[in-house]
Amino acid sequence: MGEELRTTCPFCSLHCTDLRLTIDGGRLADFSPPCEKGQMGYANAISGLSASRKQSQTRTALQAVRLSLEAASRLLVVLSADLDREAVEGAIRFSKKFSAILTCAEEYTGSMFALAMKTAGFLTGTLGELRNLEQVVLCGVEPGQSHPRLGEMIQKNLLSQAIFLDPPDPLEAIRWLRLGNEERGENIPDFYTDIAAQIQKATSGVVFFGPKWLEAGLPVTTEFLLWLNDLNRTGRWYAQYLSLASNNTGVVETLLFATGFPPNVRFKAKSVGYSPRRWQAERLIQMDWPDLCLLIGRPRHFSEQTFARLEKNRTILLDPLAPSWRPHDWLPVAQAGIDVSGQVQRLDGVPIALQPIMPMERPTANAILADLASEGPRV
Amino acid sequence: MILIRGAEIYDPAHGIDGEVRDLWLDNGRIIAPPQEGAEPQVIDGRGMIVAPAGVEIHAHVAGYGLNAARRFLLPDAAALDLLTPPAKEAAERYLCLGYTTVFDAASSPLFARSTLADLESMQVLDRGTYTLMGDHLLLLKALAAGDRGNIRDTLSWLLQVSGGYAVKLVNPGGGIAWKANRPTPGLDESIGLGDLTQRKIIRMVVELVNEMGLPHPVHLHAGQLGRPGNSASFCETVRVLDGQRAHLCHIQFYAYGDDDGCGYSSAAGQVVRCIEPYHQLTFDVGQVLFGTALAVTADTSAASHLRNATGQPWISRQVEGEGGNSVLPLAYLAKSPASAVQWATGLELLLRFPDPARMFLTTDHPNGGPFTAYPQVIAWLMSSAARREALKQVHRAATKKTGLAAVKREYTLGEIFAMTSWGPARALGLSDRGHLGVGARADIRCYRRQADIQAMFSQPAWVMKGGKIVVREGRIVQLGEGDILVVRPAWDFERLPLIQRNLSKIVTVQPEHYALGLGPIAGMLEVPCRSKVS
Repeated sequence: MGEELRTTCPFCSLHCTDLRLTIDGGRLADFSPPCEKGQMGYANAISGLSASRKQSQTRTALQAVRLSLEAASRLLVVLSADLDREAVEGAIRFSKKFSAILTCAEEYTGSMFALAMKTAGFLTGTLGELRNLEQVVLCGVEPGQSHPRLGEMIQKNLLSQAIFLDPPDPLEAIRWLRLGNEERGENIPDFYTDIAAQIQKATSGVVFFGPKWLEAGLPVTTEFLLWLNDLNRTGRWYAQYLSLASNNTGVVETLLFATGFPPNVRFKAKSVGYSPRRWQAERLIQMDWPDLCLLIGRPRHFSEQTFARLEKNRTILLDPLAPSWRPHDWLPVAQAGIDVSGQVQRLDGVPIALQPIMPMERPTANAILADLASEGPRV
Repeated sequence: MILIRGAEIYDPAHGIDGEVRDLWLDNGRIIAPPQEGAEPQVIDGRGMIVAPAGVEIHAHVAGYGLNAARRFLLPDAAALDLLTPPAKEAAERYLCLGYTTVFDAASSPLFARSTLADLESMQVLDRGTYTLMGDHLLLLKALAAGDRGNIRDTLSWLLQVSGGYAVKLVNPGGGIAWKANRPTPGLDESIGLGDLTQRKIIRMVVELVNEMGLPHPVHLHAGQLGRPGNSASFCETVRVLDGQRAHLCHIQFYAYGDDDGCGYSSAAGQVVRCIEPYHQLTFDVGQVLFGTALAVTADTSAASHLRNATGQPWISRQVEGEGGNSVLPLAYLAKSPASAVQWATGLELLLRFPDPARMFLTTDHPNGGPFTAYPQVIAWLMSSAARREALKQVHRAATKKTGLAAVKREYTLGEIFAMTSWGPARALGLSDRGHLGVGARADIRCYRRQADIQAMFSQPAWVMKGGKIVVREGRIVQLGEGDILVVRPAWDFERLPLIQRNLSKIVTVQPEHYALGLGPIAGMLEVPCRSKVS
């Protein structure tokens, strides 16, 4: 029987710090507290360790990448949603050196979010704050799906105070909620007037919402955040964005810290340009814009057409696990929280340190990027 | 060895006020003129003004709150760049202004790793941060219980795990009252933990920090920030500090009369009369500039008040077991009576307060405006004609409701260097900088004398850090390697299990993963404490 390890989970943006794992004979033997997502993540990561190439092979692949870099003039760097801070900072330094466009694999709704926030503001809190509130409203999200232990916590402690909202037309629903208290009887369904009354009674609460309500367009986002603003005026109402898989580790926050901008930036000699719509990863790949595409971490939500383009063009993947598609080059790298330490951000922005559970000799993405940048030419 | 020959030297710490002298440097330090030795590298100082490099005592340039601000300002590229540049960029701007030591004004322990990441990127400077504790339940509960040993160890532990340089109190107890939907407590009202009041928190923490001998005393952001008529409560807070060392920040925001209930007026005169006799206290002003600014504050109740008063949207994040941080866009308009009074009140405070080594120039960046506007403020301080001209451009409330127009004082260069170098360095307990005495760090700024004071201070001819020229004519020519300044006061390690047990009741992160932990920080320089406690 292997030794029990206490560690911090890298596999969803809760980053639980109270995990206990047992690894026996190179396999995950025990995992608690129970969480399917974490358990599956660890099982995959541990089995993936053995699939990594030897260092000599990595060196050969690196040489090939260097040659590709020399030939490239339009370099696209795409970050996945589960990179630690060091990898993101390495990608920024690399992108600066090669005047690359730096994006995220998941379509980033930040510009919409920023515009809407500028209109309505936002009150939120860290996880410990959220669990102390009187009312929970879940708008178009099921926390248990992406963050099992958060779902469990809500189910256990807050189910009687929970309201689930997932209407086909969010705009109409939000307007009804905003009007619910004042204009009872104005063709507003009873369901919404009742919810509005329930919310009105609570002096504190939290609204969880996901990308669905942000991607529904600016009118929905703005109306939604104006509703939150109304709530803030009646009491202490928090809102918490709950991503499904994107920004698991705070990649967006790290970019904001280091460049002043979220993803979709282009580095030039002495400046950073920001264009959230033009410089989206999938759009650029489907336009065949890059003559070299560097994927740092695996893109989870790319379409089949995008993968087909990537396979056709010059693509390099840095990832701990062997890909199920065929990039031009795959360089296996260490994973923070598995074989190296690292720093990530919890969904509420709290920075969390990850510890290695099975240290190995794999290079980190940052080390590879630094190596490439130290010898590679400037594009 | 370096010789700066024939420069006009300003060193307020040693009473040197524009004397033409030579200055000798070796190994990054200032040395006495050597009797003999190797031929020095000579820097021609003729026609140049040479002074100790600037020391920033209060600016919000690092940490998580700024990211919220960046999201907010995203649609406004100019404001984004001016008010919330990445920490590395902010550090380089400071260096180009002649500052080599900068302190971030507030860092929440739970977010210490984010602050540290920013501080790491500011490596061209010596830098540090103050740890927010005034709403930390761990500390407040210890204070309510009254065990001085436990309070002292909690303060020390929090400083150590968050990589802090000083204890920051922001409207202490106000944050937890706000979270409980209670009104902001007055100085003598319970904050909701037994009979613990803001007065008791301030007095006990200030006394203990001074007993612990921290180089910088408690850095206090008082209650009632920004409210008309708040000068009376501010003066009452100052009296709580009788006999104790402390630093009160951005006091312009507390120097308001209520103009008989008709809005803002300046109470700078009364405030100066109140604070001047407390020689152990230091202050920074928090000067307001006209234009775009941004409230970035841990004072949620003040930000909430501002939000309700202005109708502006805000971003506010409450932190488990602590207070919170809030961000709110601001615009100070020259034609707005309130903004005009705030602008004039800051200048009036600076001009009426007699000792520039105790009252420092800050804009509480980005709350009053960007730190890059310091040269503009210096130009107003050094010229009553420039102030008269400025007064013509702003709302008449600045003339009618403040005493600025009546103040004729003009700062001398020596006084400017006292308020931007020597004074803040001394208040921070950094005896190795802010002056040009033998043994001091060779952190030096040099200006080409110009009639246009603003232009002169905007671009030093060169800036030296550790004896190396790092900036020349506004451009960085060499990247210096500064230190992250921290304090690590002694504490009773046996109390750790108790602290961790109490912490686990208030935060969701396991205690052993809280903040930075107890290990050393890469690049840190520990500034010693002069403890009076055995």
